[in-house]
Amino acid sequence: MASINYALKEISCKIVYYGPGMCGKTTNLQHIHEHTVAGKRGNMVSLATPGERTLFFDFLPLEAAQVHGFRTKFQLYTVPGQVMYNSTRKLVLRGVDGVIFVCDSQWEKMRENVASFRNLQENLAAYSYSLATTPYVVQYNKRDLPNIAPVQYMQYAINPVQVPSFEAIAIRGEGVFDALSTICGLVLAQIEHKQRQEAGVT
Amino acid sequence: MRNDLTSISVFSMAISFVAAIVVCMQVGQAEALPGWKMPEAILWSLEVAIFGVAVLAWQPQVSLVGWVIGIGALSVLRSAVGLAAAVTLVAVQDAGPLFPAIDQMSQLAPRLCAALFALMVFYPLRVLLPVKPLERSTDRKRFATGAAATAGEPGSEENGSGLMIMAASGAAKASSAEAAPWAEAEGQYLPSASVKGTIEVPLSVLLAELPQELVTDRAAEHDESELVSIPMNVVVRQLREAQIVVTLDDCYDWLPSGVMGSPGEFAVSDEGAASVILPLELVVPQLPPEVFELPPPSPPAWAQAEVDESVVFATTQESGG
Repeated sequence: MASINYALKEISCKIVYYGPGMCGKTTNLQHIHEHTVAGKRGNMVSLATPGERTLFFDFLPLEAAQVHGFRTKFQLYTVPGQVMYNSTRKLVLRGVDGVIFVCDSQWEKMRENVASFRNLQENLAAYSYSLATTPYVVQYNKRDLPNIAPVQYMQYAINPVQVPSFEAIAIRGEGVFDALSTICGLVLAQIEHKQRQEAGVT
Repeated sequence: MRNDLTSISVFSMAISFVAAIVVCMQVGQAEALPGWKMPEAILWSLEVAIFGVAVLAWQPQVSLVGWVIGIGALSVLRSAVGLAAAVTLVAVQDAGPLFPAIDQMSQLAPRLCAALFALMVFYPLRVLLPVKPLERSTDRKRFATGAAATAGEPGSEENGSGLMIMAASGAAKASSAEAAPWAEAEGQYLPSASVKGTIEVPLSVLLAELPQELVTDRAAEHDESELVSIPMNVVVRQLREAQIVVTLDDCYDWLPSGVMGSPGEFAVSDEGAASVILPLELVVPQLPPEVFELPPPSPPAWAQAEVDESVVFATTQESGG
């Protein structure tokens, strides 16, 4: 849940990277951490197994430039993709403001992508959230690998409603900031809209 | 930001309710405010007018149903406060039977007091009132073109500082009231099962997927590169599952005669063994592009919002994205 501190003129939002195991969620966060000016980000907290699998979640606080005179802070989280950690995924989604759904473009991961997307919908529903009201973008990761599905098919299977989507090679940083900037913009627009609605401004 | 009730708002509602009981009790008892009798109809009209104005002031976008619900809920809440005050008065101060106490709390002063506190208690719940749907934006071009945007298109980098900027302008036009039609529409993107034609899958692939008990010796007589035709409609209707599963009976029909034993004679111990999964990478490339054509974009309401100010991250120059 985004918080707005009018006294400090500060907006804080929660963005979650969601997707199947080994799709590149942590890689996205690592790239952002490594390529953001040190003063504008906090330390990246990551709890992983020796095999570099996310055990609990990764966390990276990030600050963007001022919007409407407010400092905008984004708390970036990843979820553990492995099926057995569903309770952790659900926990991380609590109070989410925006989701970047990361897909693994490899053919053999298609089923996992679809299953993970449905899992996202189920876990959001547990908090009475839904993708109809929670901004999200889709990132098609690992586009540099040889055995990948065409984007057209992935759009068809995962993103038929055609929300903004991005091809990415997270390990090289391609498409990482594009997806992040887009979701942040959508989240802020959503906040502004709700503020206007609550204030009765049409 | 979400409109969900937080623990703080629930706590404040509870505190307001308790305060309402105490204050109403005191006001109801005060000698300075004798039970000035007013006709019940006037009291109710006054109450409904206060509540109606309050609901409209809180939520100008409220629908008629939401307005009525709001007034009704506030009236119930006001009555609950009055009743609770009466019960407390009787219990704590031994004020005699309950009915006169209720009557005492229904007079003008305690009633107005209860109404004001009902407004305070209800305030956090105002966001739950149904609102009027806003007009849908007709400009969907951004999302039609935004679909499957290639990496690097939306952003640009400044030379010196390495700042990445997402540019957009306009005002937010999203409406959560439009969420439901989108959610319903999501299920409509199922492909037509009436697609005609067949796809070809190498015999060796199907044989490898079959339970080996069902593959006969005659399979060795066939060239492994031989192709098996599979009706396209069987495949297309499962595409969104990202898994093409066919039954053993279907395989029996499609495979060359004698290559596979009758599935009826095969005792299925494992449920998964009763079906065969076709590799997507062999199937999907054979399908005509029109199979993947999606209807015009129907993004959810939030996606129709125009981002009215840039989101800027201070990145180093070699950020890659």
